[in-house]
Amino acid sequence: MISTAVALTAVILTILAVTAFGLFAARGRVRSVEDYISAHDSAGPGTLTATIIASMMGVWILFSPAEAGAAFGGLPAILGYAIGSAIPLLLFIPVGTRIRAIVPAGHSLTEFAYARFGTGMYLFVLVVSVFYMFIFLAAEMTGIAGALSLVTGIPRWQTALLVGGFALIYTVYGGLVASIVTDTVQTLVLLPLLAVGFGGAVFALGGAGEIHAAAIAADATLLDPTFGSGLKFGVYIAFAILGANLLNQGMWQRVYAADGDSSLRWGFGVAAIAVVPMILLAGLFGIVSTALGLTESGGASIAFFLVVESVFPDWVTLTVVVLAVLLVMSSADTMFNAIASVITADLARLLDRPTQRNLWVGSRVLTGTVGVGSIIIGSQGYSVLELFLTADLLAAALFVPFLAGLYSERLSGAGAVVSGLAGFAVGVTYFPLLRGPIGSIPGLGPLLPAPAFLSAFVGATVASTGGTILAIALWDADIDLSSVDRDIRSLDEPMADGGRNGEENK
Amino acid sequence: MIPSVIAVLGVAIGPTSFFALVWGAILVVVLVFIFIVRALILDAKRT
Repeated sequence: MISTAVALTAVILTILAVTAFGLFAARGRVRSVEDYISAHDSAGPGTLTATIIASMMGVWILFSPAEAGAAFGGLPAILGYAIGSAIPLLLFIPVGTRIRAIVPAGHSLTEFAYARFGTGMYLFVLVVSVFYMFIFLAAEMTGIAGALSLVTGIPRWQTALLVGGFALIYTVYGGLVASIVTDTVQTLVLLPLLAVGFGGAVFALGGAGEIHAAAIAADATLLDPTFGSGLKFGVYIAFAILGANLLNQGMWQRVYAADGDSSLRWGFGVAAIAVVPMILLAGLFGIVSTALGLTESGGASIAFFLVVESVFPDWVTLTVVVLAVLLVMSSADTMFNAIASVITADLARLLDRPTQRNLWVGSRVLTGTVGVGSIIIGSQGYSVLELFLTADLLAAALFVPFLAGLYSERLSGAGAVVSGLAGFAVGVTYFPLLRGPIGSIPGLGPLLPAPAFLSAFVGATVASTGGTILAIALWDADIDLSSVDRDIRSLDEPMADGGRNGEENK
Repeated sequence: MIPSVIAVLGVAIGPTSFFALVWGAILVVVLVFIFIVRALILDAKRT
């Protein structure tokens, strides 16, 4: 184990460098609430690719893919994870182009949900999206605090406070601009670190041939791409990731940030290509940990770090520590701003002619509140996996009717809500984590099918898709998609006067 | 169906395929890095 002092120094230097860059890059560039929560048409293909990679690839890639490799089915489970993570990014190419065409001045997915479907669907999307993003954030804080505690002995609270606190400083100051700029730099550092770190890891383990031989000797199914339980895991995790990412406001902000449809295609397309090897390489650590017998007495969830701790030289461990900090900061700043932007965009609509200053203060207070909440939760070491999967299930049930609203003029708000609820109801009947409370309902328990994550996630998506098709076929809401954006206005009023102009208007 | 698709694609995880998988993944990461740097330079020149 590297010493706590060395690790803490590396963590602090990394955090300070990112924060300083974020503050410097955002200086003078955030002049209004619009600038704070959106970055319309500002990112070319390079910036967009970098910010999407940084936003999506959190410290979770050092936990979940390795756990999948170690405990849920070896290589096919990892491949499912990797491909499942790429699919939503690829889907954002047509969906994002459509969003930009229908609501060109939009800011958030809830804003679209309200304009297109009305209050019911808006509330449904708001709850699921914010719930998912906050759990993602809490999981990131929990993950980095636990990882550094394990590998370097840094107390959880110190890690959560340092990483979350400094990400909060530059995000509260610079909003989405700071998030995108730091994401770009983080990705430029992160990708070479990843390549060198994983390359070094392969050498440290004796080369790819040695890893292969050890895995085959330990359990040949680890490298069998047709292994059944691994394939099932791969498919269900793909469905879980798909819905959640399509309802991720951070991605919607980046759809709008693209400086044209070409940048959007390149950005999301290349990011989709990038996430596959990143998750694959991280996942292979799970196979290595099983091959080396490190997870025989449990601990699959920290398989990656068990390998790092027991096999690697200090320089690789230090690389992993810096990598982990970059991963979590780049995702945390995205989520801080994404959650704040959802609510800020809604405040602009819900409040009666709000001033720029009210929105300005509100958006920053919201960012701070979200950040402090996630730091507190992250320092506690709770397991948030069950909440994460529940949020994923809700998203799996909701994303099809939500996206259908971009294409169909016949789908009504009620039809979308009922379709989403139908999907959720089907998902819940199979969902293992809710089997206890659902099964205890008198008369219902014996009727429930065998619990399985695959059936739950696929069932939720298929049922909501069926409901959506039915709703479109049976009723015609006659929505004019070309006028959905009539009530969505830009929040762009310069803040040079400190917001007094808005107050005078009021 | 999925296993048969994999079989058709010829993904057999022997030592050579595993070597290709690991180093191929690292190579893709490097190529993405080069793409981003190149695109950022072009962006900077354009503006």
